[in-house]
Amino acid sequence: MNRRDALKYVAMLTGAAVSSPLSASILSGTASRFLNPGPDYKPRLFNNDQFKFLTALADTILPKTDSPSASEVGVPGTIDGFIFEVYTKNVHANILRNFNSLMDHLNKEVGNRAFSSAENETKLKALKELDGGKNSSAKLEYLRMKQLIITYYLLSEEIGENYLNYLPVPGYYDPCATVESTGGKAWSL
Amino acid sequence: MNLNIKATQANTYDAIVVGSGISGGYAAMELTSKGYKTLVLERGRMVKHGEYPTAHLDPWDLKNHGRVSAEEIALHYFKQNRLNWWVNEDNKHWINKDDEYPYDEKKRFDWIRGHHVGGRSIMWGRHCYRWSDIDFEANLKEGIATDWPIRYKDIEPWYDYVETFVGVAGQAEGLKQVPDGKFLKPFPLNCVEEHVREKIREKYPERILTPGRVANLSEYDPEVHKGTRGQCVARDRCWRGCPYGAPFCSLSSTLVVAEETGNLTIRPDSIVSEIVYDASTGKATGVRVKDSNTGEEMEFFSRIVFCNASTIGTTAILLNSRSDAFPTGLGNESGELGHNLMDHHYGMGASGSLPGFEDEYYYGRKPGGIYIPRFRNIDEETKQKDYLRGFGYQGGATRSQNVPAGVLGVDLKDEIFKPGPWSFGISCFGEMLPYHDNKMELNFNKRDKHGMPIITFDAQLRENEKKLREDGVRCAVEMLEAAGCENISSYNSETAPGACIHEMGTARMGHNDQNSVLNKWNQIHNVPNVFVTDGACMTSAGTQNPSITYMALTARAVDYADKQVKAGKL
Repeated sequence: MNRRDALKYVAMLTGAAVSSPLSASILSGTASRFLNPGPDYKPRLFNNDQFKFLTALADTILPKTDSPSASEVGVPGTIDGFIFEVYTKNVHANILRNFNSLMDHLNKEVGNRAFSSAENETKLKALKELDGGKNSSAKLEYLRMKQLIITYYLLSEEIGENYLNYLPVPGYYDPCATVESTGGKAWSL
Repeated sequence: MNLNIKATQANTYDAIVVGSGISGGYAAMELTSKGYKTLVLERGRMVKHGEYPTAHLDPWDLKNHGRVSAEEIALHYFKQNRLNWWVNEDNKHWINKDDEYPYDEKKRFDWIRGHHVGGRSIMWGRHCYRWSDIDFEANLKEGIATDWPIRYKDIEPWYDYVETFVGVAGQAEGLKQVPDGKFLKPFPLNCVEEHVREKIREKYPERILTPGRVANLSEYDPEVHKGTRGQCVARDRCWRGCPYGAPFCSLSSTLVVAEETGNLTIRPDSIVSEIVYDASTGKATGVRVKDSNTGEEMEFFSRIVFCNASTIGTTAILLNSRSDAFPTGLGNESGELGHNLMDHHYGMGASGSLPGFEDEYYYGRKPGGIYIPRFRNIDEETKQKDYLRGFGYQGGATRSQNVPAGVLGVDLKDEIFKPGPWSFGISCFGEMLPYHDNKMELNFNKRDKHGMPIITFDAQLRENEKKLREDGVRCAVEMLEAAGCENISSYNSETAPGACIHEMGTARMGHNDQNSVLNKWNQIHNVPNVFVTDGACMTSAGTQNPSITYMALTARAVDYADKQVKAGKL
């Protein structure tokens, strides 16, 4: 059975959200804050070039605004640690192959240099072209990484507790609250 | 001589209950409340209510956000985690390690266990649905396996009785296939689920989407919900063990009440190897036990034995209880002991997104989703040509991440903190027929570290289940379409028996000792002081989540046993 199906079973059994990417990733633990990766994090799955690329990718998708950037809440390290620990070596090889082809594609798109060395505008433009472009293996891998980056970002402690509606003990259940009543913000948990 | 008598006296109780899970806990409460000095034997470690180490952890507090490392899975959970979703950092302390609890399979069987006081009543899914005569009559009408020796009227008052104590939140619907019970107020449908309910009903009047009937206290009455219970605070972390005592669990309810009577002795780390039969009386004298820490072997004696070691555990004990009178296992005159192994099967369903409802949301996390009770083969109109029985659904509607396509960078930062579009999904749970050839056996030539014979499973889904699954997926898609869902995706990946953790059968109830192990009172036909009231007793599997039925049968059997004792017959 594939992971997507498995997530549905969890949702069923726990009575939790069905096919909600956020809940699904909570349930499956697709996100991680392995040892709370900070700026000194030493990647274990990716090499330095790959990790630099991942960091640039994450921060182009989610840059610093009035909320932290993806790397400021440790997203690249989270992804590295999570994949390294939770998946087997066989799966690592697959993931790295797909990851490398995305990296090669984007390095080329920004003018045959390291994606991370390009200007912010250039990086964003390359990603937008991929995002809106027709289906390709690079796009598929990009969307997968984008999903992971966003999920891990929202599941970081800093974002989960301070930028989303964080309520560990709701006290009761109201089936039809309005978005307005929650300040227009999504639930953290 | 004197010493022996003293030792025997010290080890003698009015009743012994093997197992402390959902049905064993219930047996213990009923027996102790009626004044029986009761010994509960649990093979796992001691756990007390409140000892829930992960109850308050957020996703970011858990290593790898809750996922267990590949290395640890490979070492300890290589079978338990074939379900993929089951073993996580927040619950792995409730799950047996495969390297310590081996079993063999001729065909894959996912035997999911947790050895500790409270058993799987800590982690259960808590959905509670009554069986009806559609279920109790099915075997007889269809000529399948053997007839149930009871009907709905026999168990109905006991459903009333246990539901009241357990506390089941639910909504009355007047359905014949899942009769209404003694409900607390439901955890209501959210706005989108309400919409879906109406849309499905417009097109398919026999398909009713209702709030899941769950054993969580939506209303708490200390006079009724005895023990250390409390009001549900909508955290949806029930399976970690709930410090609030809102979900029903042996640890916070039945065992607490049993303890308060002063009649309970609970002995953890006690592996029951067999029930000891005395041919001169035609009854069991008690049980043989091995202490799992010290290896010490001992015997306990009692007037009544309740075997509630969970379906497989119970039947393993019976198969291991061999004597001249019962050479192939206690109560096995019929040859059915170990056979007719069932579960529910799942891994099929559909999900999709639902446009609109942008201003609607929910507050809190309800502890159960929606339920769509079985609607196939419940009468002549709904009769299917190519398969017997039916299936139900669980699922729900939630708002997902808000990640509009093509939006990136600063613009995306404005979006991702908002609630995203609604999605709705349902997963189908199907009935599995009782097949004699689906079985478990003991391998007496291979033993675990405690000297217990290794269990071998040989069970599989068959033609009827496969046909049923196809219809389950088809109906799921139809309902999502009726609801107005978009981007509908469906799936059908067969699960192995055991995977639903609703394993049933192997010591079934029936009318006589030639076709079954237990009689209509859950008594071994020819060993009247041994009762089996866990999933092993089931004669068919239904589509409903079974725990509430085990509890009702348990309370009923204790009442009967007590009356027999008082009448001088036991």
